[in-house]
Amino acid sequence: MSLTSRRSSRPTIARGRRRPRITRLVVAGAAAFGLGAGFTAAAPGQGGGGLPFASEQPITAIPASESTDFGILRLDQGPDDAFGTADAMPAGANPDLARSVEVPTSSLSTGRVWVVPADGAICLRVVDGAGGDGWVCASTADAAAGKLIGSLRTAPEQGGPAFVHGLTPDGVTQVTVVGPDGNPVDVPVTDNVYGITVDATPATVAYTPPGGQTVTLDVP
Amino acid sequence: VTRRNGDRIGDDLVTMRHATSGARPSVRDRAAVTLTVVLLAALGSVAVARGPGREASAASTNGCNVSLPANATCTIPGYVALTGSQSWDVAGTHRVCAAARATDGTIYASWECGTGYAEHCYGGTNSLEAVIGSGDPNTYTGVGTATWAASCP
Repeated sequence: MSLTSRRSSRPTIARGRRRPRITRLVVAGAAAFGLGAGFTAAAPGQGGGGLPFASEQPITAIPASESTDFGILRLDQGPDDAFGTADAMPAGANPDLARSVEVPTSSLSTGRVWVVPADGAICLRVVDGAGGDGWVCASTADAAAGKLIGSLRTAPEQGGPAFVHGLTPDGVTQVTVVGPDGNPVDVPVTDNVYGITVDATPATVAYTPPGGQTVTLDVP
Repeated sequence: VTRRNGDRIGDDLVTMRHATSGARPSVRDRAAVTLTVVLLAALGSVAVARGPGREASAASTNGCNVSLPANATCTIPGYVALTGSQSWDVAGTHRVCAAARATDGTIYASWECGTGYAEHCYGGTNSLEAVIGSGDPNTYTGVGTATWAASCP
């Protein structure tokens, strides 16, 4: 008997019953798979819209858009730039690609700010007096607009001292920090980075990029 | 040769089909098989969704998802070997702060504050409690995460 003839001799009713049953099982399994995955994704503990700069695999090269906007990321690395850590970094930030700038020390500042390129974002890292890391991140677009700013402080509420650190686009040589007393203090920008400890907040940081409009930021 | 083998396999299939056709599974049996498939698929999907990459989240929790007025704080209760405290604002525009509290109730080291997002990482060697705070004059919805037994995200 040939293969063709054997196939044609199979009872068609049996084929008709068998396939729908398998199909039903596959469909039911797929539906359950999707239901289970969806349930897991929405499980408690993942609420709040999700971590905005969730941990992911570190990037392996500085994105061109970031090195274009920030000259510090076009510089060769120095001995204090890359830092080892066992931590997974936010937004795929890679400490091996970091650059850093020395800033004045204070009771809140250990004297260095790291610029850490990430995946669609840029992060600033500072080290507190107890060896912990403070991180702030912004999307590449927000950072290019000069909005990446952070502060290490003794309390979240306004009024106390703060180590203000931030990143400016290329061409900015100084920022002006204004404290609650209204007195402006000019702070130099070194390789896109500034850092200063103010005695009291609220404070603002303002600067004018070359050919641009003045940017004024509230110190977070 | 292949066809011959195929033929033999076909013969076996036909034989099996006939052998089982006399004892067709009952509706209850089919329902049991379907239910088993559904349960296995659901369990499998949960395993896939969690995956190795999500292991870290098993050691973290969103302990705060609250309306934060100016100067308010929210504590994620429980002292652990904290590695990270993350604070963010759903809108991404407000001044948010992240810190940790030592067992004596004082803030450990300092707060890190940012616009929309801030994170403070620790070595995981001290017993700390994550806390988030508002540095913004306006009320916003603040979310906080404590991470331990996993690297700081």
